[in-house]
Amino acid sequence: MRRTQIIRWIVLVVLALLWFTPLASLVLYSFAPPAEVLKGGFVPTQWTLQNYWTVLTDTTRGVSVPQGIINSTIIMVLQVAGILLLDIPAAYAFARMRFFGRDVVFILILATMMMPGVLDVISLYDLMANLGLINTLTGVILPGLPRVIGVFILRQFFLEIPQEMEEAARMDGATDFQIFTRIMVPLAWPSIMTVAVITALYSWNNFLWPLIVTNTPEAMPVPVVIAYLSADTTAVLNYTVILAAAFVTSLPMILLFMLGQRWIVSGMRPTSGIK
Amino acid sequence: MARQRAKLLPYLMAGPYIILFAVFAAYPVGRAIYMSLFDWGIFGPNAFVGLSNYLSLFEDARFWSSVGVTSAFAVMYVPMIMVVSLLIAVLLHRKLPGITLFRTAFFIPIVINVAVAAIAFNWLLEPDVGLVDQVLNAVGLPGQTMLSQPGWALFAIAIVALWTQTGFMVIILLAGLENIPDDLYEAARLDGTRPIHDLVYITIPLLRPILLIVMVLSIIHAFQIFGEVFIMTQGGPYGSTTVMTMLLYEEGFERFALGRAASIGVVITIIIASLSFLQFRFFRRQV
Repeated sequence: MRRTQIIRWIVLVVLALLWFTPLASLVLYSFAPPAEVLKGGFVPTQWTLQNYWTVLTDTTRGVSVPQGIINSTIIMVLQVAGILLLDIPAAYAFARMRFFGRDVVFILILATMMMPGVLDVISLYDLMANLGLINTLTGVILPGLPRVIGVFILRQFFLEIPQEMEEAARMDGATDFQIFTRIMVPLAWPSIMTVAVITALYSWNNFLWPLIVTNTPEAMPVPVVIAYLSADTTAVLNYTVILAAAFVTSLPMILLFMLGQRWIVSGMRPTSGIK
Repeated sequence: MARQRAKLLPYLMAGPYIILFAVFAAYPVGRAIYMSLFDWGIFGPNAFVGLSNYLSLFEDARFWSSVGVTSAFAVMYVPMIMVVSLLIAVLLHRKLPGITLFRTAFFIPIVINVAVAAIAFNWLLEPDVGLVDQVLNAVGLPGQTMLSQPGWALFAIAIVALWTQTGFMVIILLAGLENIPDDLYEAARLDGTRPIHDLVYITIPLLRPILLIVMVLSIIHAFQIFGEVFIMTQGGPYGSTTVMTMLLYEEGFERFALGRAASIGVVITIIIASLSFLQFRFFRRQV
């Protein structure tokens, strides 16, 4: 018994070290002077903040990291707010109200959830081009709004609230809308947080669609900026700068991870249809 | 009056979402299939061509190469992530000193975007100066040039995908492990079994439905792999990492053959749907 515990612990230590390595090496060398890269080694021998200064002040072929951070922040705030405003009432209606076509529409929504993202990127691009939304933040934001996962998680929650609660409120003279705003929404708070956190992650990290819809530096969100910088043919010369850019732009999500790990975990579970 | 409002309310609540869903999710799916039937350029449709896009795709060596590359990727990636995430989940399941730190190590890649993950691994694998070569040289082995060698480059991309996705799979598996009653392990212990028997005779059989989900999700991920390839190898060396999504991107946004690109999207969807269906069909009997 004792021995299995020790073996478990050692295996975990080795695996955890392996898992930390990519980020650890990235962070360490983001604080190294560019010439350190050519020396090689496990840990830089000299340290500097120069790379971060470059990241925050320089513009490479029109692309600037601060602009990317501003863009990603706008996209994230609007998508989280938009998705919550759309999803909470819709999920409630799908879970606890009767209306014409409810079940058919919901099955359609679930079926679309199963479709891989690569199916409609081309037609979305063409649609956005027709709407004149290429290279705009609106063009990045709009296709993310009907994401199904939020409605799915919230509907699941609203379904489990006992009918008695609603009836008691109605006896006290509450209207349907009051029941929703005064009773159901406050009860759903944990699920709402889960949806907010996983939407923020998606907004900040989504890659394929923003890559396709933004070609001009002014509109690029963070992951596209990083991809653009790394495609620089002179990249080897400023490797440490790219590492610094990668780390700076990941900080908001690392902070979110530290503050909201339990929401992330609960958001990942229903994705797979378990519980 | 009140009744009238009550009838209207559900439409007002679900309506905005349904409208956005119709315009930006359902319509684009239908439109993708429609576009795949046209010679469709950057300025719109040129001519209706029926199934020509598909037929020319099936005669194109680059398409079959991308199918082969994507399948090879799935064959490497799926068993790897199933074994690794099951191992990690089983190890993380019970309390141990330092468990929070261990969880952090495996979960933090969940919040790291694919561009940053690709940069981190590019740096690790940088010939001569990256950490991997430093370690190899330290133990007296020659350096590697993985990313410029066909075969190895695809493997490197599978490792990056493994690094980013394992945390997600571990969360799903941990949820499954919590549902296995402890009594089963205690009974086994009374019978004097060894820990490896627990895994083979209790954990894996009872986790089968969850393992099936992990497999289906991993295959879906494998057939849509894109960001790692786009940043680390751009499909090279010699097309050896040109997966189907990469071909779709090239057709759509480098050659502006949108109709043809849409048909690749449809083919990927059909492959993913058939594989998922087959797995549920095949494994449901045994689950």
